[in-house]
Amino acid sequence: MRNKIVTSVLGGITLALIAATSFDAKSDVVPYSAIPQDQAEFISTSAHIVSVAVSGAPMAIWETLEHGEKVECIDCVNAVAPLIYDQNARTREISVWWMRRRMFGVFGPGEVYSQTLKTLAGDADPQRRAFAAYAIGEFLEGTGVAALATALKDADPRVRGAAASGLARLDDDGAGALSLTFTDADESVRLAGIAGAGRINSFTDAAGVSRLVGDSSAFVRRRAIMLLDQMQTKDAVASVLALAQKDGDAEVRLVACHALGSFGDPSAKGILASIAQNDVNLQVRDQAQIALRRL
Amino acid sequence: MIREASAVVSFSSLAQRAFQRLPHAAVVAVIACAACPVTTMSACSNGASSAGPDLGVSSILLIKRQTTTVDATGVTIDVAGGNSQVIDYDRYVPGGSLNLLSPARPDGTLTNLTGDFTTADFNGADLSFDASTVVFSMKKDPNDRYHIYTVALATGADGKYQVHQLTAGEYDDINPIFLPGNRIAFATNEMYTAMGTRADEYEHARIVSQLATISVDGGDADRHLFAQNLSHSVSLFMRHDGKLGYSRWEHLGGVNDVKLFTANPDGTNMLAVAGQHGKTFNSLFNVREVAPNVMVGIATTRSRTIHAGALVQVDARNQNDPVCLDPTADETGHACLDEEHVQFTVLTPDVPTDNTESPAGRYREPSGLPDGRILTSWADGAVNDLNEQSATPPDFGVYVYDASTHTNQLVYNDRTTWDLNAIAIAPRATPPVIGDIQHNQDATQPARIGSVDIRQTSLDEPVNGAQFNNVPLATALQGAVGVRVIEGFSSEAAKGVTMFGLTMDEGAAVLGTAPVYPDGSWLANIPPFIPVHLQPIDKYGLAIRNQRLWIQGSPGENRRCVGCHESRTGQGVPALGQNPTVAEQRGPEDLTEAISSRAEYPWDKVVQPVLTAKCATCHNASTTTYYQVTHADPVTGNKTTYNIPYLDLSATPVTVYYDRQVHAWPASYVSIFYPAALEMGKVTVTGKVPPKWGVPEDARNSAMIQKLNVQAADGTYAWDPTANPPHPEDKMITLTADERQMLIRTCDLGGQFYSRQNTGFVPYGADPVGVGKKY
Repeated sequence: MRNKIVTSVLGGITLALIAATSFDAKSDVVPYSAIPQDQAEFISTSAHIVSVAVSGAPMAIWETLEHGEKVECIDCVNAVAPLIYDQNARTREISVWWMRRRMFGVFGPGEVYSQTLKTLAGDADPQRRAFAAYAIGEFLEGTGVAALATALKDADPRVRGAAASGLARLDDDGAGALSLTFTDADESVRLAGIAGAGRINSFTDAAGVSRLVGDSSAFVRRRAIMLLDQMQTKDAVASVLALAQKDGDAEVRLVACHALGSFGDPSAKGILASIAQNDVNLQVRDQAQIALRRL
Repeated sequence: MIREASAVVSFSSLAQRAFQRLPHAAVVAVIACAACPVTTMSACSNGASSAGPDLGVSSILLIKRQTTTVDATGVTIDVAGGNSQVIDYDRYVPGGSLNLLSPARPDGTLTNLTGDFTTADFNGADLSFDASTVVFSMKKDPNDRYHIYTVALATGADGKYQVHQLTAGEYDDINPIFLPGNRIAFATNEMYTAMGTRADEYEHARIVSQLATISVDGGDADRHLFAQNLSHSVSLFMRHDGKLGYSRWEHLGGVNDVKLFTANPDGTNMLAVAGQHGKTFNSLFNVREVAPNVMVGIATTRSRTIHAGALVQVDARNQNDPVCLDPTADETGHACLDEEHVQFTVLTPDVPTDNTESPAGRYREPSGLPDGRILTSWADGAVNDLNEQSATPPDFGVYVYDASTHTNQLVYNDRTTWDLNAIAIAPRATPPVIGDIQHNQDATQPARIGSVDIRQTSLDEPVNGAQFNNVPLATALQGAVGVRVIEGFSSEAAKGVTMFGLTMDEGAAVLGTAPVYPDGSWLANIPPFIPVHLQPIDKYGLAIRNQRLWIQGSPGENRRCVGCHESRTGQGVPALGQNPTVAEQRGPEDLTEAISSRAEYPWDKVVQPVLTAKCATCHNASTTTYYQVTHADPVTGNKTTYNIPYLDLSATPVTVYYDRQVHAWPASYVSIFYPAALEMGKVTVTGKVPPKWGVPEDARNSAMIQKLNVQAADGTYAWDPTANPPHPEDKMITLTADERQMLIRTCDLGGQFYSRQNTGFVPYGADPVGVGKKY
């Protein structure tokens, strides 16, 4: 995904060459039935999983682990587990995706999952705690909810933001704990909380989101309105209408107009008509016009 | 089938017909641009002249996408993010632009149409049929989402290009194309249905993209969502007949590839176009039609090729009908699309269609020029992981590919950006407008599916197991008595679980079984929008074949096939000669139960109680043998041996933990489905491994079902009762017919442990198409 160029390019090339040349990439196993080869899921070998996991080749790791979904290889777990703390976000994600499918070696007492919980709770390095929080979400194990809810109070904003993302992956707001992010002092945490809330089917704290339309950050106001739009929070019409008219940020005004169209409250017609004619920003005028068509 | 490049269809005359030339002045004025960015042109490839090739058009459209970000923390290079799989769509790097190159040659003038959006990234663009307007997908900044915009190719009164935003909201809209009738189609990851988000099981946290349309004038006010696939739909293209085409990721059990589909502009009539039969590569995408049912696109594998691959020609014409091969003929009334016998011709034979290092670079996003040549992006070098790891992005530039000489001629290349999505600025014939069959999003209106005669099939496949021994599918289907309709859902709908058990299969619920009448017809009403697949079943309740393709319908849509994959170029005739069919006379079977009432088979709630009552007395921890899997801890060196029961059908937890929760998993599930899972991997096992008691999607070949045997209403048995005496009746225990059918379905559906009924499924509260919330 993203490579910091400060890492050794030569080293990268070396690793890539290893990755490209040394893999026994695919098995010949065709699962279950006579599926044509071009359509069939190919299955990684356990040796391939081990070699690719230590190679550091991101795309090869992603592919191999995905196609190693059903490969029961206990020793592979030991090779893949360190990738929870890889610098590459997708590598972290897919390593957990693969591990959470394991029958053995991950969820037993003292094994990877419990070690990750321990890292989240007490590691001295906030970056590792943040990666652990992401991983706890990706494990999709319900017992992670409480740990992530607790992590929303971590001293480091990276950890708090990651905990919000983790709760979103678990499709759980931690019995309301996610709303703590809405009053967090750190903008990135508030944004993570908003993004997370949008992914949780049962999230209902519209009042908490509505308060964010007065946030000092234009990014937060914008994302909060988008979430209110998605949640169909018609109670927010008045505050959103005010932002559509007067917010200094054109992107905030734009999403406010879109939300007013989604809410479907005809009381917004007059102001939207005015915005459609007079806003200085062409895209805001477009959205006001579209919203009017929806009312 | 793959053909040699020499067999390429000559479609230049067809393409010329498609492009309607307008007077030069009406096309696009050459834009004087003192402020155009300075670009670095690469050397011409393969002998192009310094002035570049004559494209036959004055201008081209192209998108520039960035790979490199410089900020206070240093330089970041993003090659693969959102590109690692062909269906990825979330790679954002600021600094992209939408551009006109005029004249269309290396020394042409580049005009940035989106200069006000300096932190934007782009994901797809298309030109209106009259060549006056561009539609494109843009994400303006990191806190934005990709949305649909238009820009006219003429400046406004202020001398600037007027960029209009047509969509907004908390979702991404990408890959837009113009449709006739002033509409735009695109892919979106807007969540909908009671499931809420649809994060594909195999695309991790990425929400599944589906198709949608808006009007050019109304934008989101006319937003219309299509029925959904279980995995992504992307890379839309316009077809000559007024339908849209698209690439669809097919993941159903062990199937995992990318094929071409088509749909009407209102979302109805989703059908396969190419890729289901006879392609030798995994993924087919970035397709454009260059003549009726003749397309060019990218042949590649699903991952690690940065959305690039070999150029391929896809000829889906019905080769047996001369009308379909005559571009001047009116094909009305002729079945000219033959998805079963598509001819795939790799135009660039040196470019691999897997993800190995290419000796000849890789191609992206081809389109047709008016004279039939191919305008495309191309990058030299490996164009795979090597670029990611060495932090050297492939250098995509715009070229003309001449299929007759296998050469690239440089049109434009900025070595600091990816130059993509090149389209000739020239008017083209407007396809016919297909009127809406339906245009509502009312989920209470069912879709109707069925067949005229399910026994009609063109598939040449053998059926084995139970009463069939290498019997042709067409023969086996003579014994079909019903069609089982199975809903698919991802783990997003089964909160709290990681996957559905020891299986590659998605979540499954049986909507019901529609009877097959004597004429072979069947008919059913099903909930709209959701993906389903079908299994014709025999009199024993065993699936004769498992459909390996998701199908779906829009509210009120009436979509019926002739048979069970009937000949695509023949005509279906009701077997008994009457019209309508018997199924139509009887009316559709109603399979529209609410989610909470659908037949699911949660192991602990439905299967285990039967096993406990009827089986575990004999098959339990004290009667089974075990085989072993051993794990050595790399730190301590301590070895742990896991004992897997040969056949323990009790609910007693196995003596080792299984998956995550030692106390919550019955030994029965491990016993029945672990042997099939073992086939997938390389595990060091000691001891005697049992037969595959349960084979996902295949009760007919599951040892447990054979052991049980099953009797039909006519008294016959699926397996010879002499060799396979019904069990456990041979032990004086009776398994009811319903209990047997439940076990058969558990295998046929995919061997899932989980369903929505034994997980924390919570319906999504803001379903934008959930009018009435019936389902």
